[in-house]
Amino acid sequence: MSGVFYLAWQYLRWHRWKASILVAAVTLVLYLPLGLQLVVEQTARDMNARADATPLLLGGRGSPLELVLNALYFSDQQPPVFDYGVVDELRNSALVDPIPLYSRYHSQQIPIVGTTLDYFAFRNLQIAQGRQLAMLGEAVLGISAAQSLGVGVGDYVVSSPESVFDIAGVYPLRMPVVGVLAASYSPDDGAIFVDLKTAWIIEGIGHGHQELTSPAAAGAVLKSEGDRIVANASLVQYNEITADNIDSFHFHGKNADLPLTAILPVPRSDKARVLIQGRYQAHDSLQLLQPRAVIKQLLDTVFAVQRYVLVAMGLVAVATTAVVLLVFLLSWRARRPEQDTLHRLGGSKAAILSLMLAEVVMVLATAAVLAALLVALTELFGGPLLKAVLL
Amino acid sequence: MRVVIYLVIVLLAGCGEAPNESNTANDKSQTAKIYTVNYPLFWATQQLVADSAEVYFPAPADVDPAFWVPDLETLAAYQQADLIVLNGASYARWLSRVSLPNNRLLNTAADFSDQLIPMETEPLHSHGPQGDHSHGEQAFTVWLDLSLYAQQVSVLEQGLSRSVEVDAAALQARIQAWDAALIRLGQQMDGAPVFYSHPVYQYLDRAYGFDGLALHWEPGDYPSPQDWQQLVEMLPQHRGHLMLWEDEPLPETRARLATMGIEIAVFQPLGNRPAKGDFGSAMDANIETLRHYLEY
Amino acid sequence: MIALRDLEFRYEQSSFALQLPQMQLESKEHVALIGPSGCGKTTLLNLLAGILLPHAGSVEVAGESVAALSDSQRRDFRIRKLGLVFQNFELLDYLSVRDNILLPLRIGSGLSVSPALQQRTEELAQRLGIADKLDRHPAQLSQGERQRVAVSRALLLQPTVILADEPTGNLDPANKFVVLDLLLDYAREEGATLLTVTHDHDLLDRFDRVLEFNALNAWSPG
Repeated sequence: MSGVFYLAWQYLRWHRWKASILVAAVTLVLYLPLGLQLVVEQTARDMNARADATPLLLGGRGSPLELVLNALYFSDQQPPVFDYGVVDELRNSALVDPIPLYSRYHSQQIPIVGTTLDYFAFRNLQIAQGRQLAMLGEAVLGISAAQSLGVGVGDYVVSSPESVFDIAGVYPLRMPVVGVLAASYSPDDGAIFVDLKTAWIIEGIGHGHQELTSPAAAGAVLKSEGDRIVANASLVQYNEITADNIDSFHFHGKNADLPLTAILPVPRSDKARVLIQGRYQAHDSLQLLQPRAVIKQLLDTVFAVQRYVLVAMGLVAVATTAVVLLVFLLSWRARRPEQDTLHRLGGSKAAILSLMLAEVVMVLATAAVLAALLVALTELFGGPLLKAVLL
Repeated sequence: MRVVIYLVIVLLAGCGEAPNESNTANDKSQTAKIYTVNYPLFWATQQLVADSAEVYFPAPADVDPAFWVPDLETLAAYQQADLIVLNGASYARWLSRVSLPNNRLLNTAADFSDQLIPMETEPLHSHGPQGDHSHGEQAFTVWLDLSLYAQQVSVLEQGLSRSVEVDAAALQARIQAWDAALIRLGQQMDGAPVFYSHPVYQYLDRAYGFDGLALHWEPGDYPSPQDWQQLVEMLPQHRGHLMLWEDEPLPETRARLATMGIEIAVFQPLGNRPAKGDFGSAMDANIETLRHYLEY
Repeated sequence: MIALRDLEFRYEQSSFALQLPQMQLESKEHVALIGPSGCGKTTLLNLLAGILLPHAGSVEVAGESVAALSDSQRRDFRIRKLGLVFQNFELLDYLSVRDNILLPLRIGSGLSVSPALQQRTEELAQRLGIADKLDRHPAQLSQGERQRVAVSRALLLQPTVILADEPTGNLDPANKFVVLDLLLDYAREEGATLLTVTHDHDLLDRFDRVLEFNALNAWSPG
């Protein structure tokens, strides 16, 4: 029998292009449905895990899916902003511990998430290199974000301007990287974390500038009347917060009016969760939702699409199988003279049939091994790929 | 074949375990750690928790905690605390420059934010569409209005009760006694003008009906000629015979003030630890000093 | 030796039929079989090799009554006792020269490519002048080289009877004598009986005897 497999192998080697195409076709037939199923299941598992780890989410009234995707997965979708004052409302309720988020800006397509230190404890994020955020203007990166940007502790990241051509728009802020998080196998790995106040500074709501009464700022002063000074746009505004200029940074307006994109209200108990949900159920400008329910809707859609795709793949698989079988049959017919030679030389019908079948088996086995490898690779990389598409 | 081997190695390397559970920054030690930003809150917290929690106030004894900035190591300790007790009223400017776990902050002035006294330390200015604004803040020695200090203690009691058992009754009684004593003393002052060596007595002034004007004199420094001139110019409209000092001034300062008919009384603001005793004994001494002045 | 008696054969879907009263080759004899095209010479070789079975008569080759053997016995007989050389070489394009020579071992049951047989392959290739071609494929060889590969395959297991059907039919004049002489030299050295079907009268004087198909009293309407 080993002679038959040897001959089969030599045949496939000689007709390597034909064999490769057959192997590729069968591999795809075997892999695609499995791979799709694996990717979808893995993605569903990851997304559900993230949603399960977030009992409640509060945001401006609008698309629940946009809110969940932005707050949990840091997607580009921008939910409506609302006021920081809601954080105080929630805290004063004594029902939840609110964790504010402001996720609007990016550094080279890596999302910048403004939040407080409570977020890190809530998500169980550990510092792997460097230290935690301490001073205004600092950044701590998820491990994938650090690798993607090619930066580490001691380097800098710069927020991307919203519009290159809008001279009145958001200025880039240069932020020192003080820490890199350990891998958490969650969207947090791909984000840049800054203090909430730093995110507001990126927005331009907070800023630092030259002391108006200093000689250096004299050129920027338009007029000075008693206690009131008017300066022009040449006043130097700092685009990096340092130990020398940190005291000049300030915010305009009340804290309570500053913007947020989401709050993670962490309920102090199950009863507290129910109570707080009741309070915000019919709020006209805010929505409080359970991310699990929103993600379930999204995944139900994905699963429905998956079913249709699998049916289509099934049909393609049937067609491909028929074509592959046809190729083998036609090849077999075309090799009749070879079969006659083998018979004359002393080969039995069984041996000749085994030779043909051995070729089929080798193609199928190779395709099965490749499909298995692809499934393994999909297990490693497929989930992030689908999430990148979904988000 | 080589490709297959590489793929197998990648697979095995990639069969990573889920991240291990490990201690978070929020792990509760058996004894809660409470950090405060000034001495009055440190003392009050100690009175409330006794041995059931560890209370910290890391500012050095020789600095004004309102303007002290912790180093990174101390800041990290604050970040790890189970509770961070804040004074409110823009006390400790460093708070707005750092990252802290907001859900572990306790703003003891939250209930009386409408009663805070604004301070204009910088000129109004504008440099864009935001309009006029100032970077100035509020007067922060709220504890010198003992009724506000009592509210701070009440908020503190609520905040602490989530993790330790506290009973503020004894402390509140003592604070009420101080408040009552200062009210009586204020009534005895009957609106008589006073001077303050430094602008730290705003809440004392308002709460107890003192009619005070603040200078910017330091106990360890002899006032400059301009400082004396400023006082001389104030006297015709504000004929005060008492000047409250944060600490004992120089003998020559005392002597010269005496020639102007102004007596000295040391009323420690107690933002930081007193040289002797604690907040309680120092506040007792403050009230006794004022009583002594009024009686004699 | 080879002996036929009262042989009768016909193809099922054809009117061709073969009747052969008698034919005999002595052991170690080298015989050429000539006859007109289509008279049944290849059919006769297939009957001698056990590829076809007669309807009547006896076929004895190398001491075996071929017609009486079972299918597997005949196949085994073909591999171990016979050496078959075909006019069109019948090499497999996808196998190297070495693998083509070793082909009978890979399709026969109970046979394996032993080191001794690998060595014999090298020796045969050396003798037949194709030692430097062992790793090439038939498409890379000349006609003469391909036929030498076919001859090497036929001689691998030291057959006692060699049946060659027009072995030089597709060769040029230079190569045909070379190939035939290689076959004859081997047959002499190993004491094998050689029956060669040929059209080429230039080759006849190299054989011990020439049989005319018609002279065998064979009648094959066709």
